Amino acid sequence: MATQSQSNAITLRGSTDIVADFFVYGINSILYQRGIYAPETFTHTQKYGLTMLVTANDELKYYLNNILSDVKEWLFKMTVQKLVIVIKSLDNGEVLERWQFNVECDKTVTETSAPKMKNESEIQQEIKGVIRQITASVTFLPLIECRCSFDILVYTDKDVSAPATWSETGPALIENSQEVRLRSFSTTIHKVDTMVAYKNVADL
Amino acid sequence: MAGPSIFSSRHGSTGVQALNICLEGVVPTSERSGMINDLVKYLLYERGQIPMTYDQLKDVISVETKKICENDKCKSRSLNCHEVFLQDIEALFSTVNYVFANVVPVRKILVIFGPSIICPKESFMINFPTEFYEGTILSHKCCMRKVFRQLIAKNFLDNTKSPNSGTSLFLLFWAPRSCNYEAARLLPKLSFNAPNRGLRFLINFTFSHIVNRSPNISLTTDDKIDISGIELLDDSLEDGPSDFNTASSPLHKSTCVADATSCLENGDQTESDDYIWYQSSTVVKGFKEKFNDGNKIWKLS
Repeated sequence: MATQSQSNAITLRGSTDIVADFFVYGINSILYQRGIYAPETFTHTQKYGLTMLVTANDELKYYLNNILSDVKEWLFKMTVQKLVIVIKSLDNGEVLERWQFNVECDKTVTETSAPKMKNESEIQQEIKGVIRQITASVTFLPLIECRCSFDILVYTDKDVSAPATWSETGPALIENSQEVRLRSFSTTIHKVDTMVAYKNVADL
Repeated sequence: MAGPSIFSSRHGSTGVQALNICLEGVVPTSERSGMINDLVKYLLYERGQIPMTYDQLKDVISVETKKICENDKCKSRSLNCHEVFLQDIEALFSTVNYVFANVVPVRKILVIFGPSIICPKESFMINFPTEFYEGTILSHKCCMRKVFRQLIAKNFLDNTKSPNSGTSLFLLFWAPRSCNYEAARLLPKLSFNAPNRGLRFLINFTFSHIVNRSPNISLTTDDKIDISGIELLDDSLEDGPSDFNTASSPLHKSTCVADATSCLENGDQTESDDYIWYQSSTVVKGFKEKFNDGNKIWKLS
């Protein structure tokens, strides 16, 4: 019984870890599915009961690690509003896709607050649903035929001061875009909505 | 006159979750088998029956098989579960392709997840329109892009709990009673009715620019009917029936009009009397990937 109630108790730190983990696997999934990096640079692992593909590229791992450690801190402080993956053409810098994760926080919760109750397997099931939709989205997203790069944008509260490794930037919106809202998940402390915007191309 | 099936969605565990997908254009019969195959691939992954998408799985299995064969163990080994799955699913796709190529028209497809067709955990009914239609012919890529966009954007499956992995997938076709089912490796299910238990989903395809032809079609002076948008059929009425349909079934263009006309007039009556469910003899079973729980790939600082 103690084990059961422990797995249902969500603290601020626990919720932060869950969301940060999701961002790790979600970003890797997007980079793989959209062909930003060669498929052979990814390796299989299991998470959320799914076979996930994560990068084996040390440079990319290091880069993502650094970014997401800051994001994790902002999640803990509940100052992050959105995390956005921007995919741009290397040829002309045109923004082709935007994967946006909106984060809503229950700001009444603090580090010392009593844990909130939600079944961990239920959260995992919700995250699984989001990951599957990210994967399935390639079925309708336009084919990316040019070499691309990606940026990670984080929207925070105005009074947040970011480390020197971050710089203020514009939203990198897409002209003439279509948007599809995907599923969301909630830890009861953080709620994450996912959507993808892509350049509206004429159907062939 | 038969029209596309319209269902209202009802909520609750005993209701049917319905989705109408309207495609602006014409989807030729030859493309519909591809639609069904792609939907099956999507459902297998979405419902947790395979650990990754079909295309990813195919690549992984191909690499695995190559490695095994390089070690010269190819001849002596039996197929593993991945390869059995791939073999079965390819056989199922072949059946779908054959049925759509030889049965006119295929009105409904039923995908069932469960231990048997009479004990479904989940069922997915897919309806196609059968009227004559005109319009821009949609390519398969374009068509599926639209279909999946709607499926995902409307959150059709609504994060419902998937069946356990390794649940069997059965495919059934609503086809003429008189068809040559043996040629297509189908099993007639005379007393089978569409499921009324388990989770039920309905996908209704409708095509815009449909022109519902009046049953009284005036022939031109040269007795040829020009229906644009319909693929030209082989002009060989004298050749006799195909492998799958009997002589009375619509194959030739002019007989197609006459028989389809009677279909339009009779509508549901034709459907209930002359059509039955046929099950594909191939049953597909997914699998769950087993990993040794190794170290985490990621560790955030």
